Amino acid sequence: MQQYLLRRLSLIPILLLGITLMTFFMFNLAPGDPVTALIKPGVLDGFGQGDGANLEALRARYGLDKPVIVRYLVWLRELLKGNLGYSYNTDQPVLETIAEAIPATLLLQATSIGLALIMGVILGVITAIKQYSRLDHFLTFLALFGISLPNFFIALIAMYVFAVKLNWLPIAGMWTPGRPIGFNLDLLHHMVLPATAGAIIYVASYMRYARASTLDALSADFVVTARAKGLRERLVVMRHVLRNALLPIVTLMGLSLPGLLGGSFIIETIFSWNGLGLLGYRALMSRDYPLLMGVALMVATLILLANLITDIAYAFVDPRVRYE
Amino acid sequence: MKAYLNGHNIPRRTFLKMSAGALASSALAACVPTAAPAEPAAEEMGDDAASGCGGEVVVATAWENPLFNPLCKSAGTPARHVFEPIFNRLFEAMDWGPGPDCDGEVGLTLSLAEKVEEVEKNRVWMVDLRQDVNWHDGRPFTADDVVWTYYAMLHRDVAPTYANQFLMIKGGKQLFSEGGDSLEGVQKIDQYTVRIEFEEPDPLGIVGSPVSFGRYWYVTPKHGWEGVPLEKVGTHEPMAMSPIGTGPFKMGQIVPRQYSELVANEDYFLGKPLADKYITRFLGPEARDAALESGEVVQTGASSLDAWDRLGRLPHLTAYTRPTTLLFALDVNDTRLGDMAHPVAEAIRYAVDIETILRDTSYGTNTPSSYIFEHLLGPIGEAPDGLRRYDYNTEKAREVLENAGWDFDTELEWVYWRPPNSLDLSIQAQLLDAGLKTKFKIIDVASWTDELAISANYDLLFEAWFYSTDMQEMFTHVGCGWNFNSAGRNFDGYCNSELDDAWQAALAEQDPEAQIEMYRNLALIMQDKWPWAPLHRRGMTTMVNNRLQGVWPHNDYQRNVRVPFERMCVTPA
Repeated sequence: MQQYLLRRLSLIPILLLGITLMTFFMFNLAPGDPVTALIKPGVLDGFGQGDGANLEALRARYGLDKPVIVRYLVWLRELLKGNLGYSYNTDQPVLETIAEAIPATLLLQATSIGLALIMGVILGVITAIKQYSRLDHFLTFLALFGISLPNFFIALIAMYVFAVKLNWLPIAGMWTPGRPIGFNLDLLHHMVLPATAGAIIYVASYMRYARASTLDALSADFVVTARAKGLRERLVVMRHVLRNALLPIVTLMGLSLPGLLGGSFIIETIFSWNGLGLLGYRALMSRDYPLLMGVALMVATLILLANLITDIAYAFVDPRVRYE
Repeated sequence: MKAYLNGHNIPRRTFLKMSAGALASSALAACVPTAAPAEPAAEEMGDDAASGCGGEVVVATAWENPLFNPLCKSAGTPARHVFEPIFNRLFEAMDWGPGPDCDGEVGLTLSLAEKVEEVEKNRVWMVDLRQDVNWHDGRPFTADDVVWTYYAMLHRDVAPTYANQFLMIKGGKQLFSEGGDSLEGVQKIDQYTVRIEFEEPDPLGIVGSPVSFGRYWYVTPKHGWEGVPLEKVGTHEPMAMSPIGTGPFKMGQIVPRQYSELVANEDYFLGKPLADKYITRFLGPEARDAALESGEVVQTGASSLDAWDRLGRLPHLTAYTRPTTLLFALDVNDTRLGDMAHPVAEAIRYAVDIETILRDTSYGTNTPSSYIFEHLLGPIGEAPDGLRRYDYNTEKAREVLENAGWDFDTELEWVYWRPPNSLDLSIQAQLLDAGLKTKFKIIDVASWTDELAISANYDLLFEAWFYSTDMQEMFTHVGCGWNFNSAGRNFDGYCNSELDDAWQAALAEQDPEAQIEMYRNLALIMQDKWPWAPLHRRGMTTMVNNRLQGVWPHNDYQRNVRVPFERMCVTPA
């Protein structure tokens, strides 16, 4: 297991190098640059304060007048020193800014995954037990509906219905202005919509997988044996079926993590959730390259680590799996 | 069965129970609605609040600057909207109208300055400061703060993005490029008097156009940066996150990328603000619309024109739009097209059905505008007396071109630094209907100066002109010799001595009524001789909850641009 872990961990820097190289060049291929983004919109339209000479001076100030490859190597050298640079827009250290945003993203994503897992497994098991019933058909239809809808659409509909029309939940943000901030009820109240909107699409997937694996388990020999021994159906399901049905879900969860972190860009932006996604979106809009690179690096690292944890968790859930 | 992790045995059941418990408690807690924000107690309200208006003004914006510091280098971005209630300027500039003449009576609205006296025409001024102003920490505002702010802003180690607009101040260029210990052009005379001196006389004067002077900068307290190296001024705490200003609101709390909470400055020199708090929430476009609709925020810009149209129909909201000074026009290159330049410009005004195009592309928030002096001679969008009407008429456009002997096979080069949008494409199609062939040429935005400002390599240029309606500033767009190198905007080298003389005479005229007639004469000259086709003015839009009072002074476009934050308040629901 240790050897396996070391091998996987040693691959991470190589993967990250490739990711940062691609990301850096892709960002620089995009039209526009941070200097034009710094100037007030509208001013660019008329040779006002953002005239050419000023733009050139600003580019030189940020080192943007140097070739892309030189800028990448400088960025890499500073990265090795633990310096991710300073945001063009705020002058703040990128590392500090990202460190402030990570907990919010982890909290939201962990809650989304948790919600998706609980709801997906419960609904999957119910539809398997009640196979071909009206309830099964109804929930299967809902699952297909959920899979088909993009999460931004679900997020907007949920916002409109539950926040604007019913006024049950806050529209966006993490805390009510003027209230104490921190991990409190206000935060959880604000998290309901984004966490649920992020979870819905995965609920549907998890439910379909849980249903299939539960059906497999229900027809397995050990279940027949358990029933033959006279165990109550509830015990058969909870003790024997559910445990075995969960195994593929763990794999699915691991595969879902990149999507969830990627989806956080959309969910966090819509709900103004102060995490990596929102930070990345704003950096993208203002072409804040140092911050963008920092966010890309951090998201890539989180995904690689999440995949590793999933593999470990697989061994944890299934005693038959051992990495030697 | 046991689970194995990091060499420790953890019963799987225990692990699952712990996880489920944590999730369930989170979910339960999340479903508990939080109470609505408490209303301030009646006895805590001032007289104005007791009359029904006060409370918390909660607005939303997409823009956020995590540094509430006018001297941070990106302070010239729209982030200024967030910290505007905290600071004051020496004087407020005007978007519209004839512009300031620096005598403290006409056009110029004083703020921290009490009086501005012109010592030498367009070059030296003496500014008397108010003596009843305190910073939010209780220390008095003095001339030292003004001198410090100009110095720090222009110093190369601080220099926010807008600093290059102040280089006309004596010694400014040197401070900006090389650094130094002082700024020669801004000197303290006594505790409440400052002398401001330009390198050369500047027709734009001490305030000049609102964009080039005064809009982005605020007076900052010298003592806020005591002992701080200049290179750290932009990010120095506590000024970066807990700024000290003189404005109607003081910094309360800032939660990055969430909201800023400002509290009323009871000692504000223009009187205690009506609202107790001014909260700015940083929201994405969809959340802004939703928050406005639900009443969570009481003012914001609409996320899109579709949203502006939809939300404006709701009974509790009002959608405002007003024309800005930005006049969009097709500039026909006089040097390249010679005698054909003016007929082409005139044909364009007839050829483009700008009213229909704007209705389709902007819900009418942009205003058709074919005349440059509407702010003086008539309402926006209407032909001033004596000037031709340019109603959409393709045949008339063709006739103008035919009479001028236009070669209909000629293809005009229409230059942009971005891809053409639906408005451009619509205009291009209508020009083609009238026989004017055009092709778009897209240049790199970084080559503006060389390609357009200096070399004028274009036949047509569709751009916003006239950031101000100040007649002195406008002259730099048309006057002979006002090219890029002389800080003018007359890039294609148009020169008409008759126009120049008439313009200077109008500027010098002291009788307002006679001056208006002279401006009308100017408009007539330009109508017949200036190769320029104004089409529309960009509209500024905002959405306001009807409970919010005092927010929008801009419906009358000749009013001052400063938002009177101290007069904003919310009526009870």
